[in-house]
Amino acid sequence: MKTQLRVNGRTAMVDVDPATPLLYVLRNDLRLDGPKFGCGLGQCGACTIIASGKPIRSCITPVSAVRDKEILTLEGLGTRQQPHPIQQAFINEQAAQCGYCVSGVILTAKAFLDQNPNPTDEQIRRALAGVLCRCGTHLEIIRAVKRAAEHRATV
Amino acid sequence: MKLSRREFVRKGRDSLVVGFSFHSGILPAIAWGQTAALAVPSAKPVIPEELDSWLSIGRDGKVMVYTGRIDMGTGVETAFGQLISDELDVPFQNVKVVMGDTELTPDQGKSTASSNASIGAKPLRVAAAEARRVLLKMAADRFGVSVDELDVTDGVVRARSVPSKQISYAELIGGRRFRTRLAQEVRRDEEAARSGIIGMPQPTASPGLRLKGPGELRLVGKSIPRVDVPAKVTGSNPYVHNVRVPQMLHGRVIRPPKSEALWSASMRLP
Repeated sequence: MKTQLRVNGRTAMVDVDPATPLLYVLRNDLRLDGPKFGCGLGQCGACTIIASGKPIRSCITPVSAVRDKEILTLEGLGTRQQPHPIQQAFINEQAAQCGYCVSGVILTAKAFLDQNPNPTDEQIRRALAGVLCRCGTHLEIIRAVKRAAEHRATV
Repeated sequence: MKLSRREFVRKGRDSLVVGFSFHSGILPAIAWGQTAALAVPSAKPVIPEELDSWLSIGRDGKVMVYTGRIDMGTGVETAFGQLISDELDVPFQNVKVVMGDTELTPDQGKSTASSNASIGAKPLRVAAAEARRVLLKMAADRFGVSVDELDVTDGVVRARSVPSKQISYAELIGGRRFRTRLAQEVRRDEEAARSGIIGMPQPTASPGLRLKGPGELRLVGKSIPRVDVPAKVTGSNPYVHNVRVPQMLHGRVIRPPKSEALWSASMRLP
């Protein structure tokens, strides 16, 4: 079925079964490699993207559920040449090892900071509890989110 | 003869395909997306005893380092760059590390057991030290001085007594092969076994080759920004999951709910 999506500020047409997980459409049809397949069960957070302001698990979200939403993936945030302040904070704090989880972590943090511009460490920990990092980058990630919040406060 | 990937796999089942070049239809393994820019990748040796297998210096002075070890998050891409920069005396940003491409990189066993730095780095270090020795010898011959009278900074060799006598690595070897052999060792200890190089010849320092001591290192041991982080946080890191080849299909193991189950023709996949 032909489906129109809004992804990273652009309109995209895809021809897929409406039940297809959004993640498959983003990666396979739209060639967006930011969102990752981790568990496929909505439990690890690697596939997290933002749909109209809310972080959602794209691996368990059918594409039909986001037709009217503004979808944001890591690619829509910033580029290597011009990283978004949150991405820059992750670079400054060296908050990635294998980096497989980091797309979901950054987008979860973005949606969280949009709602909570001035979070405590505890709130950051709770907000990121559902995105799993197996390398052990947790402390750098928390520092990066804090740095991003502080940057936001100064601009 | 031109074969697609898929035809190659199919034909390979019942016949032997020999004497082919990978440059027509079949893509070489591009593990990290780094090798596409190389013009003739297969012209490069990968046997461990050749210095050229491990390291090359371009006409622009850029140093390519080839390693069978891969970085899965530990930061060895950066660490390998640091040690090459120190051992060879070239700027860190001029070193490019190519990892885990079987057409380009020598076999170094497995990237396991936290041995990338302790074992995997050794051949690279030996190769860099040997390259530096060869380059200094070339410069000494050209200037008519002894090697002891030479200094190297950022890939430029200078004669201490005659400051006007200076030459870059790029001018000495840029774009050309070293054609130098490296001494080999074969390890059979426990650590070698854990990292998959047991019984495999790997470069080691020949008796006359001196590796730098801790006091001579500028970058090794220092915590510097990792080269992989910017790509990872912007979605442009070339993960193996992103590799797409023509007509690629995906497979998965489907496990039966009970032991001794049999596949029946009436069963259909979703």
